[in-house]
Amino acid sequence: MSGACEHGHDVGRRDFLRLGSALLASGLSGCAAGGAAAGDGAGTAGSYVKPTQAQNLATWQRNAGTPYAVGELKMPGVCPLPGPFRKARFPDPDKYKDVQRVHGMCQLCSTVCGITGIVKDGRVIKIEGNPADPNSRGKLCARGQAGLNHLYHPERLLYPIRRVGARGEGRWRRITWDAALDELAQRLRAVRDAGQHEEFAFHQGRNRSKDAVSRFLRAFGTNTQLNHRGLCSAARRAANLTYLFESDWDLGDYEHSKYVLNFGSNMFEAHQGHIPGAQRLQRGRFENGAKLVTFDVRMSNTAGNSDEFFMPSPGTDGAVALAMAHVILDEDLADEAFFAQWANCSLDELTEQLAPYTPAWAESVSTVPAADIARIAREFAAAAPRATTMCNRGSSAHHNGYWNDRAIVLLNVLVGSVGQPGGWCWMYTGGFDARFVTPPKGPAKPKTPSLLADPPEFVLANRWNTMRVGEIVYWYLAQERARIQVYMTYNLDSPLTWPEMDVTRNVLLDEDKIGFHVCINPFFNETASYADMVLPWTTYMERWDVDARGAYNLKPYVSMRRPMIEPLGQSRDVREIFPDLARRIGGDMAQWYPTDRSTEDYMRESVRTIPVDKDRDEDAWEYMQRVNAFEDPSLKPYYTPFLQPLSERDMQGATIDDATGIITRDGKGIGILVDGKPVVGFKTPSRKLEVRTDFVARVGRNEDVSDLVALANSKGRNRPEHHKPYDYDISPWPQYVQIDEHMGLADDELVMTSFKWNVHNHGRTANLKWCSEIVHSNPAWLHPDTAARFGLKSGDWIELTGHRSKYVDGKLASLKLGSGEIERKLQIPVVVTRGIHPRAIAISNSLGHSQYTRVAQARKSGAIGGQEAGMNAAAYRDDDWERNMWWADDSGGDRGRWKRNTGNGWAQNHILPIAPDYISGQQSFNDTVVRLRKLEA
Amino acid sequence: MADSPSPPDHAGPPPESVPPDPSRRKFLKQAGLTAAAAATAGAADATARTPDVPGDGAPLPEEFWRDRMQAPDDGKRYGWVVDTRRCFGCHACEVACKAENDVPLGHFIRQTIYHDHQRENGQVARIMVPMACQHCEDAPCLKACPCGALHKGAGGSVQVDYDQCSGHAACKDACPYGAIYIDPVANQAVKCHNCTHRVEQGMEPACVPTCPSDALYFGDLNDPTSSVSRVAATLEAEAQLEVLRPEENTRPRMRFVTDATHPMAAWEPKIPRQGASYAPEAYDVFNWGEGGEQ
Repeated sequence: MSGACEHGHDVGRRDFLRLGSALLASGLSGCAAGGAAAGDGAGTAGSYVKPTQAQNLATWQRNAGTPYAVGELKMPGVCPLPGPFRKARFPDPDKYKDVQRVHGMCQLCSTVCGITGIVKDGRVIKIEGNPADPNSRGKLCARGQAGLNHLYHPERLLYPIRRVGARGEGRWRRITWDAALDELAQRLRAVRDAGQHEEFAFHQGRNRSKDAVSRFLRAFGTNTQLNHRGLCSAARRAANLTYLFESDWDLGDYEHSKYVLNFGSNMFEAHQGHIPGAQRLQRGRFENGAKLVTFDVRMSNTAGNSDEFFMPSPGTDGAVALAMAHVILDEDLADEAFFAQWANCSLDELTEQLAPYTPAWAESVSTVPAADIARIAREFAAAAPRATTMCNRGSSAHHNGYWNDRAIVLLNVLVGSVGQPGGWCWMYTGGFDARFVTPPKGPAKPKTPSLLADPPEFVLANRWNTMRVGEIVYWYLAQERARIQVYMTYNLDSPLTWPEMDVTRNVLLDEDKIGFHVCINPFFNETASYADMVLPWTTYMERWDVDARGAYNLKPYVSMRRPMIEPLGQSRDVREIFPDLARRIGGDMAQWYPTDRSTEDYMRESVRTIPVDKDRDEDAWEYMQRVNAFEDPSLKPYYTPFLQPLSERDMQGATIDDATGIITRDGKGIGILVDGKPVVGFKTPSRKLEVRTDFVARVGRNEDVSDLVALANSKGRNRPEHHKPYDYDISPWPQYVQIDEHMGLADDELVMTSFKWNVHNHGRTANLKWCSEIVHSNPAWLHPDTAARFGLKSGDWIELTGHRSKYVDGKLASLKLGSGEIERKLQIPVVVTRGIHPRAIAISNSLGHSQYTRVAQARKSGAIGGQEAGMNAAAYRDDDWERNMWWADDSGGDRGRWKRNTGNGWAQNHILPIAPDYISGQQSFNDTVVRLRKLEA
Repeated sequence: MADSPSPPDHAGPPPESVPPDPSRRKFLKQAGLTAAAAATAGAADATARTPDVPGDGAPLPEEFWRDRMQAPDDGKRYGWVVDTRRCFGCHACEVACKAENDVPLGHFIRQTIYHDHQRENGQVARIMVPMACQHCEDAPCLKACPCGALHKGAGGSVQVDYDQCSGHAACKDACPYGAIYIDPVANQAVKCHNCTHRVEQGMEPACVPTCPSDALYFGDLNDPTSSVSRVAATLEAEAQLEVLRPEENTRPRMRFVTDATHPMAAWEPKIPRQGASYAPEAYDVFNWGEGGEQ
């Protein structure tokens, strides 16, 4: 079919077949809108000319108005019969016949739920959860269900583009892959030849192709691999690692629990374990009688659905948790036997440390009633060991986040629910079961340290796992502490999602600070708008990975991402880009990319050792195609791993320390004596839970901790040489750290907090029309008492001024972040609700895109911009979007004319400062002191 | 003038003409319904718009719909249990339905209603209710449809015959729950059809298996081993199942699980009333509170 469609669009045959026909059944009413016109044999005869709309209407009207007769009853002629665009075969009884089910994994958030694409005639017509995925078990959230909007989006980038004119000007031209890769190879070769490998920086927003990225960066020789972890979960991970060393990620056994104590986590809308965790939490509650208690500054859906919900003042979760610990100690509710054996301090010592943290004190700090704090503590202890805490960014994305989470985890140690069924658990891996994933060997890690990846001011950011401090990158560049010759961004939207947007923007525009910027993404997002070259990346439905996530079954598993269809347009995955690029760069890079090995071969080899039932499947590859998930049936859940006995063989040549019971072999810790029997214990220096952490106190002072690292024999390392000047006095004990700037707020000041939605992730779902339909606007949440003080009602507008943190500036004076006002202000409407703490103001951090397709911009129509050179917008039209999109903001910037729930929201990061925690590197998103001014209409 | 209409022929020259009934326009003018007709969503061309029916959603004489109200004799009774205690408002069911049915923006077969309120203990909470067609046994939409398009399909599912439906919207006007919309392109009624195209292939409706909270149960109420029957039996024993707006006497096949902290009286006012459809306003955070605003 070629020529003009009935709407007059010129459609090239090849493009139509590859793109246009794919749209028809995939969530977009394309050019042949409606059933009848498409279905009535109109597609085959070359000489047939479809009737025009006028002809169809005339036919219809002629047949209209004929009366019905039912017996003797004559109904007035009211049924003109279905019109020319009537639905045909709806729902289609043949829809699911003759389909292929191609399994994969979602990547619209970090949970990577297993999915199944229903593929018919080369088109994905539906995406569902894969029931065989042991983590998500066939469930899929709204984002995942909207994957069709992502795959078949009219504004997909399909061709490489190169900027014309100045960086950021918005003019682009299409180039070939050959031209793109030749230029890129030339620039990268120049960096290598100059011996400045670390000035090639790779910056991932989210990377689930770690093997492919590592291979390329290591082959190149750069350690400047940057990420977003500091903006996400650094403090939480550092707190977990402090106690466990073995794992940075707790996995509450919610399904078997009786009590889940939630500090600020929004598991029902977000969280890195979102769907797997949420479903188990609800089963625990409604099938096992578990109680869910939530403490949150704002009424998220998790808080709103909880059995009890309390609102603490921002950043005071740690105070509440320590007061609960105080009650448990004071009333002898702790599991004394467990604590005596497995905590590296005594109950008496801990009691002394926690003496000031009474419920009355916690009430004065948090505004949560002391009686409730005490009651919940008692309930929690009574439910133990089937009791667990749950916490995430709500408690940890704060200046004092590391301390809040240390306090929260302590509760599990006190009641003995650590590693117990229904309790606070973890896994030895947060990724796939490495026993059965054997990719071909890759190059070794380069030796040259990268300042950008390991800034010296931050104690724990890279002490166990390499978390880095993503939010400091642009500030470092702005201060000329580092420079980047070639900047490769990948699945990243930092101009929207990073704090203090003006800093990001100015650095990205500066060619002295960033010599050349190539952006790899499926869409033209904010990052792309500041790039010099944009390469069209495939979506997660068009490429390969081996992947898995923190497993709530407490057993590791393996799953895969695989192409459901051929990549659209000229989009490519890095698994195709990197080999090609490496060969063009040449030298010693090419050896890591043998030309006779395709990506599919690489994948096949990677999973070949997965054991299969030979009667059912020929080999692992066939099994993975059919089922796509493997969880070793011989494994038991990772309960009480610290009780695992050491065998006689383990004990050969081992030494036991009489005083501590710690067992070492060749100077390395392997276990501990418990009641005279050798067991593995915790993989920490004390071989116990590190309630008191000498490790953190000593690395804080840049001391050599090799002795402790040897005893832990799991993770942990010294701070490198370049950290030397940055010493801190960090208490080894859990404590509450008061955020001073939250005390004594002026009458017009509030604490601004941030949050996520159930239909969005941080930066890449606003282009999905079905998700944006539900949430596209983010007015600021204010409590009625607060609103009354300012004379505000719902729909009124305010101006917010953000302040840089005095606390952070005090701790990190050498960074010269400053502590004054941020110049740019934010004008935003408010919604008045009792679901927010009176001292706080809450704004979602996920909206206010300036790019990322017209869907994210809430533009019904209009020019796309210079980036259209990389698209095929003429072949793609989404009639549904252009006709039915209902939330465009028609006010033209006039506040008085703005209609509620229109537009695409406001970008909070304009007024949210760069605020890293000197201990963990965590960016605070929930502590900004803002001044509020009512705007007159 | 023919007694019964024949299907329009789109693919060739027009058939022998059947002139429109001149008494029709006069009837409607007398009934003063042309304004209502103008309000029916449909094609932009006014002459192409379907005239409205007498009654605006009132039931037509029984002989007209008696046969269509009879479910086919397949021995099945499809029904639902919706657990308002479990739903945490993630919208997965809505988007799964949008994807399954290519539902246009601004229109909804499924919609989750939010209701923020204060519990007796003073704590604030949020009730979230996933809504769709109630698949009434005594379906008012079916009784109001003048084309004979609404009928009972497999298991008693209330469904639309698209060879008949010409977009009067009498069904939309009759529905006491807001469950029907008129498709802006086809100008025909659309509502939940129980995904019988999936059920017949051994699958569940698109919304059910994707719900991460296990809040939706669908199946054959005649089969005591089906998940919906088992869940209903447990909850019936605990006297926790209710139908929405029982005063409408529609005998819905959908029952809601409620309890002291999720009382139906709290969220029922947020469900669209007769004549309305699920609308975008439900997603507006300004409307989550009691009475629409705090």
